[in-house]
This record gives sequence, C-alpha cells and structure tokens, in this order.
Amino acid sequence: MKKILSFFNGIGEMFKILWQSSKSLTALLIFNNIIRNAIWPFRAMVVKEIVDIIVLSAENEFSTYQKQFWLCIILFFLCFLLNRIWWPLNSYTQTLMLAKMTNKMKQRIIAVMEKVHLSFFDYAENYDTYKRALEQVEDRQPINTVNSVIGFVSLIISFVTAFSIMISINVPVTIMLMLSTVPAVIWEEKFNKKIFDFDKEVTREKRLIEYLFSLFVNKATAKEIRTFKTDQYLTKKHESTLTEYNRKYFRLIKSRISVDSFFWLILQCALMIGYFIIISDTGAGIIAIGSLSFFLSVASDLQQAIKNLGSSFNGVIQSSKYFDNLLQFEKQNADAMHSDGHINIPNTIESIEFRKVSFTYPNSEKETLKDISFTLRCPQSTVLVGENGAGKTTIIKLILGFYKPTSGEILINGVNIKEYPPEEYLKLFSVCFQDYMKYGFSLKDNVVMSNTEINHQKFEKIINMVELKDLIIDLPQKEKTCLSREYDENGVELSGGQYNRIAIARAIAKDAPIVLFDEPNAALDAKAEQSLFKLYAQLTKDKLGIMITHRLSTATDSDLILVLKDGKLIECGNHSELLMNNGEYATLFNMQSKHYTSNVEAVLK
Amino acid sequence: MKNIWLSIKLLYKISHLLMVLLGVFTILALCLSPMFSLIDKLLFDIIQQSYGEGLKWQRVLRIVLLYFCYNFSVFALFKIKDIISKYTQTAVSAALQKDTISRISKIDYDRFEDNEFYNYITTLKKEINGGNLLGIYLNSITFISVIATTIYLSYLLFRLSVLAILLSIICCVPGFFHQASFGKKNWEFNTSKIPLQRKIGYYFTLLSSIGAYRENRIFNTTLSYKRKYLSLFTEYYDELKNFNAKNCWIGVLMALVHAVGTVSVITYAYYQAACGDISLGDAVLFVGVCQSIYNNIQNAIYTFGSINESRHSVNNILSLLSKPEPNKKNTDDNISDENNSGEVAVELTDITFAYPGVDKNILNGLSLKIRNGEKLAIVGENGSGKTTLAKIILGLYHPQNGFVRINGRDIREIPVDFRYGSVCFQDYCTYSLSVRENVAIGNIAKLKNDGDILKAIDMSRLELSTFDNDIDKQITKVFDTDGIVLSGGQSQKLSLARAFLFECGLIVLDEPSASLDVKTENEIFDGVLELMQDRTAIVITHRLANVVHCDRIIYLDSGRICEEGTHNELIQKNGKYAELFSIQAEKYISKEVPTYE
Repeated sequence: MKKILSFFNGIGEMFKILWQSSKSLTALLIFNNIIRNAIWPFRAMVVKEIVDIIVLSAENEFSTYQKQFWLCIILFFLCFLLNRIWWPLNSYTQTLMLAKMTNKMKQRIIAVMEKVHLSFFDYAENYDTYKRALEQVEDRQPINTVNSVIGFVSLIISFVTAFSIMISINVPVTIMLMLSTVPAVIWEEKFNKKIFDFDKEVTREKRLIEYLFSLFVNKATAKEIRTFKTDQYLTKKHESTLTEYNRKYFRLIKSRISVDSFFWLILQCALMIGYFIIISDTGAGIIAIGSLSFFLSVASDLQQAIKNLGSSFNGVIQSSKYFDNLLQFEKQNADAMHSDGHINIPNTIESIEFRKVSFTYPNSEKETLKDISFTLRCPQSTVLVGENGAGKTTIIKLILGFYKPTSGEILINGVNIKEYPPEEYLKLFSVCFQDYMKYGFSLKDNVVMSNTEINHQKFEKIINMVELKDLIIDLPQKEKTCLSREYDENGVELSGGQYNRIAIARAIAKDAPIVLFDEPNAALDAKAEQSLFKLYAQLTKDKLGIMITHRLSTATDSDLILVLKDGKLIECGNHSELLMNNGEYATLFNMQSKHYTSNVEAVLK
Repeated sequence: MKNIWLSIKLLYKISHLLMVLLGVFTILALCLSPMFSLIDKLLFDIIQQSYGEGLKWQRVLRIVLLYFCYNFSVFALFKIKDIISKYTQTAVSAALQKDTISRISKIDYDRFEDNEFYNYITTLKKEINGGNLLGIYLNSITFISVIATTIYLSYLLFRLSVLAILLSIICCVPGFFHQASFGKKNWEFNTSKIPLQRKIGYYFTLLSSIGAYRENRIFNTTLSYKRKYLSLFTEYYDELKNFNAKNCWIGVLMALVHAVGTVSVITYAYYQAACGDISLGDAVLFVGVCQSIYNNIQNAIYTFGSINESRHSVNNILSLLSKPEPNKKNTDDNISDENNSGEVAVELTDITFAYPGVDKNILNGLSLKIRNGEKLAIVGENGSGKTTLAKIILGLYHPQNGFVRINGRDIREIPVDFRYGSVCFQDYCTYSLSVRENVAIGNIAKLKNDGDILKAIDMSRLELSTFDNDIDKQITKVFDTDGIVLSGGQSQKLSLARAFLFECGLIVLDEPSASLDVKTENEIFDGVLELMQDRTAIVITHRLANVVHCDRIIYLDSGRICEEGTHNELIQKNGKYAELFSIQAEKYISKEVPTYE
C-alpha cells in the first residue's frame, strides 16, 4: 500500500515539475505521446470499416455506402496525419522541454544551496544525495524519464482499445495471445535486475575510463604526462579497462538475445495458431473480412503492447523515483538546524572571544580543537601559526559561523555569535582564503564582486594598495579583461602571484571591520610578500586582523601570536615574549631563520 | 560528401569484416520487410473468392506458414544486425578512444593555452561517445537500401496507376529537402551555442558547488549570480525556441503535404476496390505498398537528415584522426647509452617566447648555459618568466626564436621518448590511482619495483603509515571509498618521491615548499638537498633560504637575466637580488636572536 502511494506521489511530483517548467509544453508532450502510441487501434478500426464497406459494395451498389466511405476516409486521413506530424512536433517539444526542465531542477538545487549549512556536506549520505542531484541534471535523463512515464500511459490506452475490439472478434484467441506474453514479461523483470547489477558493477570501470581520458585533455595533467612520458602506461591502462568493460557488457547482451529469441518463438506460435483459427473462421463466414483485416494489423501489436507494458512497468517504477533524490536533497536541508538569530550586528567590533571551544568534525572521531580560549581586541594584528592540520583553518571556519563549536562559545562584543542572523553576520568579515576562487570574470569584477558601491576612485586606490596598477595598464582591455581563457577568447591567464594579489584586493574591497587572511602569501615573491605585510599592518591599525601563515617573519611585528599544536593553544604572546619562552614558537622560528642568519654578516655589510 | 567518405574509410580501417557483415544484414533486413503485403494480397484474394464456403485447412496452413517464415526471417535478420551493430559500436568506440588519446598526447603543449582548444576538446568527447561515426555508415547503407526497396515497391504500384507512384513519391520530396537542410542548420545552431551553454554551466557551478559556497556568502554575490544565470538562460532559451519553432511549423506543413499525397493514393485504391475495378486483395496490396513506401521515405528522410547532421559533427574527430601522425622520432641507436646515464648540460641561446595570443614577450632574448652537475637557482618577481623558462627547458613550450640545446643537441632533434629530467611542478597533480602508480609516474619503468618505490617514498620523508604501509592503496576517494586523502604537505612529498624515483638527469623544482608549514618545509629541505646531489638541478623559489646553497643564482627581470652569480657575489653587488634577500632576511635577524642549533 505504501509503495503504491509513493509511486503515485512520485508521478505527481514529476508532473508538478513539468507543469511548473512549462504548461504549454506539458500539454504538447502528452499530445505527442498519444498520437504516437495510442492511435494505432483507431486506425485499424477505420480500416476495418472500409474493408467491410468494400465487401458489402460487392453485393449492393456502392452508392449506398458513399457517405460512410468518405467519412471513414476522412477519419483515416486524420489518423494518418496525426501520426505523421508527431515527428516535427516531437523534436520541438523534446528539445524545449528538456531545456526548461533541466533549468527548473537546477534552480531548485540553487535554492537549497542558498540556505544549506556547510556542515551538511560532511555527512556521506548528504554528499551522495547532493552529487546525484547534480548528475541528474546532466544530459537527457530528465526528459527520458518523463517520456517513459507518459509512454506507459498511452500504451495502456491503446491496449485497452485494441483488447476490447479484439475480444469482440474472438474470445479464446485473444486470451491465448495475451497469455503467450506472460513468460516474456516475467523474464523481463528478472533481466532488469541483471541490468541494474551490471550498471552498478561497471560504474567504477566507466568512471575510470573517463578519468583516464580526462588526464590527457586536462592542462595540468597533460604537462605531467609529457614530461614524465607516462602516456603509454596510461593508454594501456585505459585500453585494458575498456576491454574489461566491453567483455562484461557483451556477456549481458548475449544472455539477453538468446532468451529474447526463445520467448519470441513462444509468442509467434501463439500468433500463428491465432492466425489459423481466425482465417479459417473468416473463410467459413463466421467473421467479417473487415474483422480479419483488423485482426491481422492489431494481433502482433497487441502482443507487443502487453510485452512493453510488462517490461516498462519496472522502468516506470524507477522513473517515479527519479525525482526522489532532488526531493530528499531539499528535505534534508530543510530539516537541518535553523538559526534563529535576530540581534542586529554591532556597528563597531571590540572583541572576539573563544571561550573553552572544542570542535570535532561530523563523522570524525578525532577532536580537531581542544578547549581553546583566547580574546582578540580591535584594533589588533594577530598571527595564527602551527603545523598543517593543527586546526588553524578550523578556527577561521568557526569564527565565520560555517560550523558550530561542539562545546564552548564564540563571542563577538560579548554576544554569542549564534544570536546574529548568518547573512548579516558575514558582513563583518573580509576574507582571503588559501584556496581562493579564480573567477572567469573581468579583473575588476574579480576584485569588486558585484559590489556596486565601489566607484572608480576607490577601485584605483585598492589596486594601488596591492600594486597591480602596472599589470592592469599592460592588459589589452585594462580592468575589463577577462581572467580566464576558457570563457573569453581574449581572456588572459595570470601568474600565481598576480592572482594572489587579486584575492587580497578582493578582501580589501569589502572593507569589513574584521579581516581574515589564510596563507595569503604562499605564491608571492619576497618584495610582494613584504608589501603584503606592510598592507596588513596598515589595515589592522583600525581593524581586527587574523592571519594564518607559515612565514614567521610576519609574526615578528604583529601584536599577538597564537601557536596551535594538535588542536590545543599552547603559546600566546608577542614575538619577543615567545622567543624568551623558548618553546614551540622559538623552535619553529629558529628552524626558519637559520638559513638566513648564517649569512648575517654578508647582509649587514 | 568528403566527410562521409572519410568516415567510411576510417571505419573500414578499424574492421573490414564487421563493416561488410553489418552492411549485408542491414540491406537484407530492410529489403525483406515490405514483403508482407504480397502475402496479405494472397490471403485476401483467397478469402474473397471462398468467403462463406470455408477453406481447406491445408490451404490455411500454407498461408500461416508463409507468414511464419516471413516473421521469422525478419526477426532473425534484425536480431543479427543488432548484435553485429552493438559489437561494432564498442569496437569502433574503443579504437577511436585509443587513437584520439595517442594523438592528443602528441599535440604540442602550447595548444592548451588556446581558447579554441577547449571548445575542440568538448566537441571531440561528444563525438567519440555519440557513435556518430558508425551512425554515418549505418545510415548511408540504410538510405541506399531504402531507395532500392522503394523502387521495387513502386514497380508493384505500377499496376494501380502510374500517377499513384508519382504522387506517393513526389509528396515526400519537400519534406525530404527540409529535413536534410535542417540537419545541417541544427548542428550549426547547437555548435554556435556551446560558448553560451558553457557560461550558463559556469554560473550554475558557482551557485551549486561547495567550493564557491564560502566566497558566495562572504562577498554576498549569490543574488547577482542568480540574476546573471537567469538572464543567460532566458537568452539561450529564446533563441532555441525561435529556431526550433520555425522548423516545427515547416515540418508540420511538410507532414500535411505528405499525408495528403499518400492518403490520396490509398483512397484511390480503396475506391477502385469499392467500385469493383480491382480485387480486395489488390487493394490491400496497394495500401500495404503505399504504407511501406511511406515508411521507407520516412526512414530515408530521417537517415539523410542524420547523415547531414553527423557529417558536420564528426568534423573534429575526422580532422584529428585523418591527419598523418606527426613525425616525431623515437629513440634510435644514435643516442649512446652513456649519455642516458644522467649527464645533462643545458644551453639556451637568445630565447624569445610569448604565450599564444599574447603580444608581450615573456622571455626576451635570454641566453643561459648550465653545466652538467650545476645547481642553478632562478629567482625574480612574480610574472618574470621563471616557470616559463623551466617549461621551455623541459621541452613543453617552444621558443619563437633562439635555440635550446641539451647536451649539445637541439631539443627539437631529441626523440620523443627520451627522458632527460624530472620535475616537481608548482601545480603538481595527485592522481586518483594507487600510491604505487602515483610515485611510479616519476619513472614508469619501475612500476613493479617495490624496493625502489619504497626507497623513493622514504627519501621524500613521507611516512608509510599514511597509507597503512600498503602502496597499492588508492589515493582520493573517487574510485575507492577507503581511499586516502592526502594533506597538502603529504601530496608535496609524494611529488618529490617521483623525482627520487628517476635517478639521473636534470631535476627541476618549482616552488617545492610553497604551502608547507615550517616543520614540513624543513623536512623537505633536507630531502631536496639530497635529491640535488650529483645532478644538474634548477630550483625556482621565492624562499631565498633555499637558494643559498646553489652554485649559481640568476635573477630574471623583463624576460632577461639581469643578475647572475653565487649568493655571496650577488650580495656584494648590492643589486636587485641583494635587495630581495635583505627584505626577506631582515625580519629574521633584526631582533636579538639567541642562537640555537
């Protein structure tokens, strides 16, 4: 019972999406399907009438049947025409409906992404649902699913029509024809499971084949293939995986064809027996010749219809579940925690405080942060150091509210940050991430990010601060130059260091009271690195700044250094204090500086 | 036409037998299909004669057997054609993929800078998977057999009336031409929309990917992306609608013409039968033949349109595969094995290089000599051409002017599979394959050599416990949910292990410690020193601590070497290098630093 309900629910959802995508196209879609799949019994009926008229007019005058004859011809013409115009109509409808449907589904995904929490994706099932939702809007999957469902409905209509006329001609033959399809239908069910298993089994192979192919056409891997001369190895691997896949595929095909043929034979025998009986009966005058003609044109189609009904039944069940994934994606997100913050964000920032904060990532056993407490004041320049994996980036994510601490509190101006509404809260921050995004937009848009309040003067000022002025002057379209060759043939690819500056400019352009830099200087040369630190110092004169870095030269001038190790805050103070402490910081600092200090004399000269 | 011929030639090269078999069975199946009408005629004639009198069962049996034979033959022929077709499809797809990969790997690397290339690759992938190539062949065979069958069927209609033949054929002609031209237009339209579709896809990615999530919220760009996405989609959809609507209307009109023509002939046949001028059996035959002609022409229109569309869409794959393979030499005996033992000397003479499509030269008349065993450091500001220089030395890019010589041999003369160096790129790649394969990328000949691989991993200071001491574990979770996800530092070490595996020749290191923490950087540093021993080495870095141990340092500026010498010499010169070094060093030494070991 529950299954039936969910089936109709699924079909209902499908039609909802279709209807929302385009009402007129939905109607056309249904219309197309009917004229393609449901017209054939009607046409056979019309021909039956015509044949009967022809036979009758052999005995009586044709003139008595003129009116019926021409009426039948008109009906015949209509059937024929409808069948014929299916083609252009269908290509129109399918193309447009696919575009609209895919768009609608994408918009629903976008709507979820707007509200979802970042922690949502840390759970494997959520991530899978998300990935599958993205896969489902690719290619022709949506429209194929819809076609199979609508096709099924018109098949039912045609079957009922054909059956009811057939049964009036001869009951036992009709029943026999129907029964002959039963073994085939049962086997189809079993075979579908085989196909499903096969698909699951070869997913890995299929994706590996695509992955290996993609290595050759991707810019970064292509250069490695050329320098390491691995093309032969990868080609062989690709080939052997493909061969394996094909082998499995053909095993499946062979079993399908041999059993298909067996059941076909059963159907044929039943059909031929039916032919024998009906033809004999017609010869004996029991059945009208028109009915014979109807039988001949409809009998094998009837068998096919039943067979198709049976075989596509499973497909229809699958199709009704097609949109379940999207629905689940939407529902899971809706179930997630809602933030009910409604305090206004403060105008000025005085402090950020971590009070005994501990954090473990969902689905992880290891505690990433253990009982961290510190207070930062504004204005202040802070540097966060520690080994990779010590939890530095996690602290940033927690400050930004992307994750909630497992225990403890994070307070801004003494107020727990969960009291602030998330979108408003993020207005307080300017961030430059380590893996910042490089957008396929113009240079200006990469910096300004759709903030319309930044006029040209402000933009110039920012550019000067990050020393990108010379670069822009050299670009063909100055700041309107697109920064990606993929989306604009006049696009320009910048070097790593130049992109770095743009990411920093982006953070500056936002002009927020709290500035977070996550390893902003990884790809910068010494001079650029120095200007960055000067910039950071300048900014933090009236802002609260946190920088994560491995370059301890930054730390020498900052107001506060926080040292993390294994998730714990082990040292806290400024550069001289920590050196005096002779702890972890001092060790790290000396590790870095020893290469320079050995040349002290040369420099000092 | 040329494309069709080329496609067929290419397919024949892949397998003669399959193509011939496929052709034969397609023709047989298609020619046999319309013959049911003849059996129908026989049946109806007999029925009309003996209606009411009853038929001898032997006669009925004979007719039923005829039907059975027909059904069986058609079924068998189509099924065999099906199997051969599927088999051929997989064989063709495999051969195409192999050939394509082989050629793409030989394309000059600087093509990858070209925007056109991205479009090219997108369409190429679609063509291989779409089965268009085989489709052209099948459709051509179908087309020819359909025409031949139609001629035969028209002969049958001859008895009804010559006009009938003409009418049933002529009414299809307009539809025919329309479909043919639509095929080409459709392909052109879709191709022209690819850039727009990619843009739409890009905005969707920005709105739906996890990577963009953070910045969308921080910089509050979601709304503007949504607007842009919608406007782009609306633009695309409107154009799609206009284009297809026009075709649809014309198509419906053509259908009307076609239907009128065919139904007129059928009506005529029925009318004749009703008036008693022809037998019922004949009427059934004529109607059946008309239907078959109609189906055939339909088929012909469809296949012709398909051919017309596919022959354009296979342009890319044909142009890729029909060109003669580039004449790159493989290792021959002229290179003695001693040279292979690792001595590498590099000489660059007057190199100028600019990326394709860019006006400004990134390297401007640069000359450099690197002795065998020398350790060279390349420093300079961002964008000064350091990585480009290294890529030119490795042979990835070719300078517009000047010469590159390795061990005295012009780099263009060096055979394609001769390897003279290892590299750790700044944007190194971690492959979704096993640990073993990831390391063996560095020297694929040692793939099965467990000892050397473990040694290389050890030298790179990567701990085996990271992957449970099992070098056959998968990296990344893409193909194995138990796969290992490596941190930045671990991946960097893996990349170094590759260089350790190839024991001789040049070593190029591009920013080997860019994103590593202090401790890891320190570990790698020692590893790097070990790697560079007894080898010619080029190190590109911003971390000037890395270069002080190099034999020579060159400072690149404006595409030229503007300073050159050992660390001490350059410090003495007090030029750009000295400036750069002191900027970095001053923070480390300006305070009272208690010295510790």
